[in-house]
This record gives sequence, structure tokens and C-alpha cells, in this order.
Amino acid sequence: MLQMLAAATARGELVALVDALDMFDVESAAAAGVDLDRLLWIRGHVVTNPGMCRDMNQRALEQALRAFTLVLQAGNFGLVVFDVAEAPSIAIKRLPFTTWLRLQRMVEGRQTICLLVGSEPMARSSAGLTVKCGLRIEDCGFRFSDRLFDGLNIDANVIESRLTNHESRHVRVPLQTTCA
Amino acid sequence: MFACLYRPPAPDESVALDVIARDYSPRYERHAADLVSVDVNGLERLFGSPRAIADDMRRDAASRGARVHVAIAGTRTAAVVLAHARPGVTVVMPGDEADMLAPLAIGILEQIPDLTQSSPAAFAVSACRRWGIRTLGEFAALPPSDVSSRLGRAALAWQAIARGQDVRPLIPTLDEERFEGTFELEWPVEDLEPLSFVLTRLLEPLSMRLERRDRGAAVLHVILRLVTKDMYARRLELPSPMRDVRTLRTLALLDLESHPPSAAVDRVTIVIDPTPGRVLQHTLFSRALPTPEQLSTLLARLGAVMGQDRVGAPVAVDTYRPGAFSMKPFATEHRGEARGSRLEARQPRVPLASSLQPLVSALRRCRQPVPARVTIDRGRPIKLTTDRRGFAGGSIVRCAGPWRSSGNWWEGGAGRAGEADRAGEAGRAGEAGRAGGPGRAGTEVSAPSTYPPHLPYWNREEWDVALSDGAVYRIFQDRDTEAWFIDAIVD
Repeated sequence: MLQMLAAATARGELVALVDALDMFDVESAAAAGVDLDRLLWIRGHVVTNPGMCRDMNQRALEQALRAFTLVLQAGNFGLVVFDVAEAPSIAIKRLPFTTWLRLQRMVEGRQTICLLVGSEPMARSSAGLTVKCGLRIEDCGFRFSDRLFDGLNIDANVIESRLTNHESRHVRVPLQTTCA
Repeated sequence: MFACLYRPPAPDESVALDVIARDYSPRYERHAADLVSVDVNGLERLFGSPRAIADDMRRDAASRGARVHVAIAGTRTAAVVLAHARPGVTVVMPGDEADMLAPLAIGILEQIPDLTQSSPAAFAVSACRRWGIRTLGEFAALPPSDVSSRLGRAALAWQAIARGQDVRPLIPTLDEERFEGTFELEWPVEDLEPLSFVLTRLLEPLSMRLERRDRGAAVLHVILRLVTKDMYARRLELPSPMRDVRTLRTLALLDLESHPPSAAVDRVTIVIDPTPGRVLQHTLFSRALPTPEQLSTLLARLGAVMGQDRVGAPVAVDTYRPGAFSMKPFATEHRGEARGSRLEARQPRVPLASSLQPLVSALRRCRQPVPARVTIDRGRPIKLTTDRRGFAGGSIVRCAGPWRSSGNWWEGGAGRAGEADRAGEAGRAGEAGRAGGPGRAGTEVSAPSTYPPHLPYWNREEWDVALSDGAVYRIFQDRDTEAWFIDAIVD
């Protein structure tokens, strides 16, 4: 996500991040090369411990989705990200499925990239490209040197693509991350 | 560039400065009887260099019997400050404003009129003097986040003045034309929806008049007379000049939704403070960006949905505090070009992801650190568990650390000590029930209820740990309470 934000801002585009769980780390973004002046950051109201107000987080998620819709409607952003990566899947599943179809219609034919970041596929049939990122299974997935955490070994798997032929699905791209 | 004419207190005050300013440009702003700022852009062909313009202004004033200070600078704020501070003629080339203002005494801020229209400068100036800050340059060098947290947001405007930055556009003093419209309602209006039609009807002719004069709205005043005969006024400072009816109407409605009138409305008045319109030249080679009108409307809508403090551009803070950040208002005007030269833009600096080029590990911060139980063996964490749903727990297969970090310990440690004692007692009680003292094999430190939020100081030991199920966390032990927390998820 940060690499995409950095690449878009380097091209001179404006980008927006709807950070539903308010977990965005500004230092990491700066280290990844994101031009922070071109990033519209919208912080969600999700709380870690809602107590008796159990619907509070669901309402906050819907509120974040409304903000995401507003940004897409405004148009002319290069990349708009909806980040719910740490949200429980049950909360995502409670959102109406038509939401994703509506969002897909909004970006169709435009130059805006709409990126959904979640713990599992959300948009399903309305998604253009679905990529699953996970730790590499062959090695343990993380690299430690003597007293330092060096980074992660990640596999990015294309598991669904509407735009390409069948052969290009299930493509695996090995990636490495390093600590900034 | 802007010129500023300032007349020091004198017994003879017969000549009005705005009469002199009007002879040079129709775009002038009368701040007070003894202070006028003039937009002198484009006057070079008539009068010559900025120095020649300033000399001519001073001679003209002298011929009318007024002894004035004249300053010309790239920003209006710098011209106003320098006109107060320096007698005679002062000319500053664009870009040198901050350097010229830096040696001036901080007390000058109390002499100039309130350009911020928010709060008087006396409070900021007295605070700066207490801190030992004597010049504008020293005030300008302070970190804005710290200034804001100590003196409030209004002080940021005074800091911008100290840096020579304009805090608002020049609002010309216009006598002859006033962009104003009033609509008397036959029946009072209670809801905002019918009011939108009234606003559109008022704004359309005003927008046409602005277009004819090549002006945009800098400030939009919505004045409502209520059925209780009270007047209810709202003032919208627009981030960039605009005259699009839909945008202005939407902004006015969103503002009224946030601050609704207390009773039904029976008369609506719109007043617009004009400013020169923007000249936009789109390029064929870079993609279109959202217009300032679109962004202004979007930010107003997002502010209404999420709250004004939840929307903006992130700012990295110059501190060692983990997870520190601040936000600033998202700018509505951006240049469309890529960073660096056009050649560099074709070859972006940020590499695309590939197997050969490593990416930067990102953290996902827990704004409120998650309490955790950590088992220690030979001084290293070996097991982590937490009650919080969504966070993995289990044995720790690899770890790196500890990295000790502390800071701001000089700020109010007394309160924390009490908290530390209480939390520490709780932690030690749990610890004693399970195992031996710290450092012994198999020690488990119990999880406290929460991490004390919003404390200015921190004192912690951080570890990067990889769990057996593949999760990688950054955890820390608060050294005051000896309690463990999950600080971030490594992504």
C-alpha cells in the first residue's frame, strides 16, 4: 500500500487514504517515500475496546465507508485506499454486498485506482484485481540478524484478475521488505 | 509583491493613506487610518523597479504632508511588519522575507494590526518572552506542533507572521461595488433544504457579477435574520478564490448544517468579499488534479462526516517519540508535476515492486497500545498472550531487542510516578503470584488494564518479536510500570 502511495505521489498525483482503524504510521510512510503533502488522510473513529457500545465500531466502519465514497465521488485522485486490514472479517461481511458494486461503478472508466486493503477478499466479483500478500512459507517469512529485525519475506499472489487471461492468474511475486 | 505604507503617530494626520494607495493600485487594503497595504504586482512598467515604486510612494506622501514608512516585500505580512519596524524605504526581494524579519524584536507583533483576525498577539508575545525568545527568527524556528500544543492554534498564525508568510489573502477595500444580495422570505424557512434554493437564487447573480469583474470570493458571509428578530451571521473563509455557485452553496449549507440557526429564518443576506480570480492553465502532459473547488467541498463534507480533526495531511514530527505525528489542513492547490524535473518524472524515484528491490517494512500502529502478557526467560521474551481479539498470541520464535527509548522525562513526572506506583503494584502482585522476581526464568508479567494515554513522556524497552503463527509485532515494556504492550504490527 505504501509503495503504491509513494509511486502515485511521485508521479504528481493526489492520493487519499481512508484509515478506518486509525493505524497508519506516518514515519513508515515517510520512509517509503510518500509525499505527505499530497496525501489526504482520513482517520476513522474505530475504538479498540468499545465496551457495552458494541455497534459503535460497525457504525464507525460505515462512516469510514461514507468518507471513502465521498472521495471517490470527488474524482481526479490518483489512488484512493480503504484500509481495514486489521478489522474482523465479520464486521466487513456485515457491510452490504452492493457497496462494492456501487464503488466499482464509481471508478469505472476513470483514472482513479481504488484499493481495498483487508484481511480477506472483500469486493469479490466486483474486484478488478485481487492480490494476496502473505509470509513466504518456504522460509520462515521473517529475517533476523544478530540483534536486529531485518524484514519480511513476502509472496504476493494474484488470485483473481478480471482484466487478463486465465494464464496470468495465480502469479506469484516474491518480495522482500527491509526495516527503515 | 506588496507595498505597505505606515504613518507613525504624528500631530498632523490630515492626509488619508488610502488616497495615496488608490493612486497606485485599485487593490489596496486599509488596515487602519495609519496603515495601508497595496498590491503592486504589474506596476513595474509604470514606475520601474520595486525600489523606484517605494521611493515614488514616499515622495508622493511627503508632497501631501505625510511622513510615512514604506516597505515592499513578496508577502503582504512581511511588508506590514517591516513598515512598522524600519523607517524610510525597505525593499525585500521575494524569498528573503524570513531572513529580513528574523532579527526584529518579538515585541513588534504587538504593534501591527491583527492580521490573523483570531486573537491578539500579546499572549503569544508574553509567553515567548518568558521562554527567553527575543526575536522573530527565534519564534519562527520553534516547531509548530509544540507552539500549537502550548499556545493554541491561534499562535500558529502569529508564527506564520514571524516567518513572513501571509495568513490570509489581501481583501481589497472597495467603496464603489459591494457584492451583496438580500432575499426577504414571505414565510419563514425552518429547514436547510428550502434554504438551498434561496442561496442559489442569491448566489447566481453575485457569481455573474464576480465573473464580469474577474473576481472570486475570498470570504463568504451568510447573514440570517431569524423570526426572533435576532441576526445570525456565519463567515466562511475560502481556501482559494472561487465563484462557482454550486460550490459556494454547498459550502454555505454544510456550514449551516454544522452550526444551525436557533430559529426559523425570514431574511437571507449574502455578502462576498472579492479577490482577483485564479488563472488556471492545464497541461496536456500531466493528469488533472481535483480543482480547489472540488477539494474545498470534499474537505467540508469529510469534516462534517468524520470531524474536522480527523481529516488532513499527515506531518512527520521531529521527535524520537514512537508513533508521533501531527496533522495539518490539506492544501487545496497543488502543482500537477511530478517531483523533480520532467525527465526524472518519467523515471520515478520510487521503484516499482519487484523481487530484486526490497520494500520498506511498514508498521501499523496501535494508537492505544494493547496490553499483553509476556513470559521472560533469561532476559528475553519467549511467549506473548493478550486478551484483545484480533491479535495473535503464542510462543515467540525470534526476537530482536531490547531498544531502550525515553524522552520528555522532564515534563511533569510527579503524576506519572503515582500512576506508575499503582500500575506497578498491580503488575508486581500478579507477577508474584505466578513466578519469581524479574530476570528469573519463566517470569510472566501480567497485563495492566490500559496504557496511560496522552502522557508527554515515555520510558520503554522495545522488542521486535515474531510469533510461531507468523505474526510480527513491535512490543514494549513500560519501564515505570514494567507492564508489556503491543505497540505496532509489522506489515
